[in-house]
Amino acid sequence: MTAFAASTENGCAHSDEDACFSLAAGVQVRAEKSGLLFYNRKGPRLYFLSSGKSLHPDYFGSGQSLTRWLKTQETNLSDNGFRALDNALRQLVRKGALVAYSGGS
Amino acid sequence: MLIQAARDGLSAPVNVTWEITLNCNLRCRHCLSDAGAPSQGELSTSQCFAVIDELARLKVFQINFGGGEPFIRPDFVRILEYAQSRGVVTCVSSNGALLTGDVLDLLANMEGLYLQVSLDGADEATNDSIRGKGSYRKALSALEGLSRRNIPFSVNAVLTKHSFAQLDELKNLARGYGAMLRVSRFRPSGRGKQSWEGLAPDKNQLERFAEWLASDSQILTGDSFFSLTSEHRRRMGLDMCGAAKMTCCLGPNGDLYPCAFLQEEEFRAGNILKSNLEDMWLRSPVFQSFRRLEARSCEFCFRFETCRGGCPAVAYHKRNDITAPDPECLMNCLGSRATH
Repeated sequence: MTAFAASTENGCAHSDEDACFSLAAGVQVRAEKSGLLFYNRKGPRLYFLSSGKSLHPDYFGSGQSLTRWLKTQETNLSDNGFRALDNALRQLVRKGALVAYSGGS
Repeated sequence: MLIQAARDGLSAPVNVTWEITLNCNLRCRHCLSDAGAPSQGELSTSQCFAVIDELARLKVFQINFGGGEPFIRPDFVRILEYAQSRGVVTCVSSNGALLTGDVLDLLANMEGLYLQVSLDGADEATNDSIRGKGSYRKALSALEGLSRRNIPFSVNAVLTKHSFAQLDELKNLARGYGAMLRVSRFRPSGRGKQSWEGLAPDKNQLERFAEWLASDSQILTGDSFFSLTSEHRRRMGLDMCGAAKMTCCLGPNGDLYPCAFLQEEEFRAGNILKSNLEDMWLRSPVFQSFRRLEARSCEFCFRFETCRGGCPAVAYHKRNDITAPDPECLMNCLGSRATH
């Protein structure tokens, strides 16, 4: 299990290592044509992740790291594409829509 | 990105406003739905459950129940429970008169429930002149009961020329019960058509309201005032009309419209008992036209990108043209500022 120095404020793991992401409490997600739509009942707030077809809502309950998920889905994402997606997910962690953690498969 | 995705057409509404009955124990002068007696063919309990099943299947996140007074339906608490069992967040707009002991106890056990209790004045005389005799005291009793049971709620006031002067008092009243104040826009639909001239805020009040709103980020507005909110509140809501893009309205008999303020035959996409909701949302000509709707004459306004012409419903009811600029846009109200 990878050890992350986790922020107590937002649950975001501070590490360059491959993290797992799950939905924060009270958050739902659904697929749209060009990405994922997140709804946080706190607010409520909406966030759109322009991820195309590279990520499916099921990912957030899979317990898998982002890298592993993308491999198993045979998503042809470039290194830059991966970094952009990872950054976008970490932004959603900072906004309270996702939780990042270590130790996934 | 969200706005572009919405304009391209989301797979389903984010939330649905559901006027679950037209039956109401009050006769508010500004009622957008002209509520009073129940309408013909209101959905039965089992039909409501089927609608909720469909909304859950489409992953609609939230249902905003209104009416009429939703709690006047004997089955309404069951309908709420069913929606929550399907994972749909529920928000209910109520006049509070029926929120008494037993009902409140049931609501206290629900998660994902938000209530809005309507008050249109900070004192009995102002409120009751619009909402009817005795409504103020009943609403305050509901606020007390909700607060005591820690049920999340807000106080909802429609901005009228009378409530305008009491906004600070309404805010303090709500805070006294641990709640936030939500201010909604008065629109000339339903009984609001007849009461518009007597109740609509004037241009000066709208301008001062915009300043007041800008001074306090704790005031909720939903998306009512996107056409006049200041820049620094812009991230707090959707900066365009959400009708048919993010939301739609289901009438008591299952008719589907882009917006609660446009429940007119020409905007009816179909009926949920006869047509598939997903199909109506994605493919009805009315909904598709709303996704392309922009007030063309506003295009050169410097605020166009942040309001896209304002509220089509007000334009429709005041100018009989949903493509006309919002008559209450501050830029239109205050011509001297149009070149800023």
